[in-house]
Amino acid sequence: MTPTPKRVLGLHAALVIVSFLVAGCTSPTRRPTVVSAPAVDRTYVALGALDDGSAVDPTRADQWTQRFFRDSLPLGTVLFDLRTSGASVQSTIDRQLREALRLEPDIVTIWLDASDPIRGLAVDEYRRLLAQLVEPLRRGGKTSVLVANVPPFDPQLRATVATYNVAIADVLREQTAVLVDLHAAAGLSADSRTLVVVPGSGFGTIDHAKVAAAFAEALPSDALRGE
Amino acid sequence: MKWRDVVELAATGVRRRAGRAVLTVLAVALATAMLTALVAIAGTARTRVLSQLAKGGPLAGIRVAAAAPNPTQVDRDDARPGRQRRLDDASIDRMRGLRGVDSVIPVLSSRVIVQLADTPFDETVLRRLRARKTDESTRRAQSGRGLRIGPSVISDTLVGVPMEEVPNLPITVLAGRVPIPGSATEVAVSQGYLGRIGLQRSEADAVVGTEVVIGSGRSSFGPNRRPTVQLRWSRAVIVGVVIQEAAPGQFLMPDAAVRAHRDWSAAGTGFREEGDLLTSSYVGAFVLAEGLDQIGPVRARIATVGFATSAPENLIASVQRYLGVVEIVLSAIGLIAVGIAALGITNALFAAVRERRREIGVLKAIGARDRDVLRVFLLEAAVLGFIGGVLGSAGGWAMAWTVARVVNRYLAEQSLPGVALPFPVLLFIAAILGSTVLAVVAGTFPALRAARLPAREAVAAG
Repeated sequence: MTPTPKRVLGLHAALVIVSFLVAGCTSPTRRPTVVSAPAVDRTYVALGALDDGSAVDPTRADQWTQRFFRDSLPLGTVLFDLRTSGASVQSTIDRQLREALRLEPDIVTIWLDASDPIRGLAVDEYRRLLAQLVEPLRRGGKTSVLVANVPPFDPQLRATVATYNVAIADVLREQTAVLVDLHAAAGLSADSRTLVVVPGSGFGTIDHAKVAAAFAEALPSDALRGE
Repeated sequence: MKWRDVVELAATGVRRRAGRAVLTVLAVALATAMLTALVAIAGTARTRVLSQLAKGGPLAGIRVAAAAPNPTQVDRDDARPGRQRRLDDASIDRMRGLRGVDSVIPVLSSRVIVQLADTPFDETVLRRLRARKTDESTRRAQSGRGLRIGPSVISDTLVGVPMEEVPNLPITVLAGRVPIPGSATEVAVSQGYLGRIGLQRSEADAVVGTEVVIGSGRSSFGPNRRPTVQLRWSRAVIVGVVIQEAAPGQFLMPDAAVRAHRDWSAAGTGFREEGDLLTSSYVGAFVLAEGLDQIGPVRARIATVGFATSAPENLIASVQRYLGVVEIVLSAIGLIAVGIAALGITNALFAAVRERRREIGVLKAIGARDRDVLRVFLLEAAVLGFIGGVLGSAGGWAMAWTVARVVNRYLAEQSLPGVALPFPVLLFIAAILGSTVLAVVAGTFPALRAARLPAREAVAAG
């Protein structure tokens, strides 16, 4: 077939147009860098008294619960802070236990501060109520329950505090829960007033750090393992 | 005549007039370089401009608010929504079923309290940060949701989207990356966060890898109507800094993580701020229309479902018109260059035909047909075009790359995200192919003239 200018021109023009149309279809792409972040999903529930006597501020970053959560528990842990200001063992059962059980926690910390000794609750009643609080939380051993005893806060109440702490130790032994001994923690002296809520005066940052360290030390290693 | 003979004759022709061949190749190369650079730059600029208008999201994106439509604002790009309205899964499903809708991406949000954890910033950044913190008195207490917020705690909004849909949302990564889908321990922050901790946009990299603790409050009334707040806290590593317009908020996480925070807050029975959207499943949605031409109709259909929308459709349409004019002008400049190169090739080949009349006559006298002579000259033109195309496309890419570097430096100075200039493989192939074809087209007339020369006349003329 003899090539004619018309045919050759038409073919070539089509090729040029197609070529530049294809070229116009290119577009820029962006690809973000990827790094992985290891995480263990654990549920931690804090129960008991909110330990700031002067102002209700559960968002403070220097509270012992926050320090314990940040420094001792793995990334991926979720903290449910159910504590209420001035909670007693009875009010903890009434207002916090149900929600705590619904959350099916892996770790529970309980610190009831000194509300009950100050209010003069009978030790036997305290023992009964504490057992009523801890037993369901253990969930047959699925949950690590850490309970702090009554802190050394007033030399005049030393004998009362001692009986409370014996009761706490007994209950925890029965329930195979973990005792966090604030007397032994961080070398606090018996007349230390910095570890307890005193009306008009709150905790100091150092004290929160010491309480957090006490809980961290008592934390069973198997509580951190993923299921 | 065999193809080998044709190639040899074409190569001889090029070699014999090397100077003219080099000049012709240069003309083709320059034209190809100009056209390649213009196409690459214009394409990138178009993408960048339209992406900026769409806030990094798709052009056919429509923002849906958890609010009723305002009848007087329906056709406006930035329509003000009417009264708040619950946006739930049923409404999302209805939107998905609308004609012209490609997909619907729900957006969640939750009010949160964020503790700035100890940050392992680079020491230089840390020094600057400390100095600025003192200067700007950022340690003053802020007030929010009835709680006293300390200096290391801020109150803001957590925005949740399906992370696999980020390319379809108005989200642009400034540093790092977005959280991986489904992660509960990764968060991206916006520029506002940088400002709140005293960093500048150019220092965005400094926050990547640092940690924040995110808290949601659940308020309720205890005995004696005493308000209590129970908090849900989770830790998250900042994996990136983004510009995000999916919903107001400085923290961006995968939707499941935000839903957990939101559900916790929504279960409270206590005090609420005016305008709280805790009763709505989603704070909004992003609807992708099937095309730019579908934005208007889809917005109207969403209004019938009962929700307010906004989309930069009018703005994009007018900008596209202007970009079209710019592209026509740029293409015209490129085509003029291409035309000049084509004339150069034609001229060079006409000269070659004139000079080689005797050679053509001899070839015909010994039996070469018209088509053989045509092939020799067309091949010569194709070789010149191909070499010019290779050199020109490489040169054009180098020009575009240099321009992109200069533009990115300027954008960085203006604290704006840079442009991405991908290696245009298709443009390269098309430029080489196009210049080869162009050379063949330009060489067609001289080649035809050579092919049609009568043998006797050609020999006599030589």
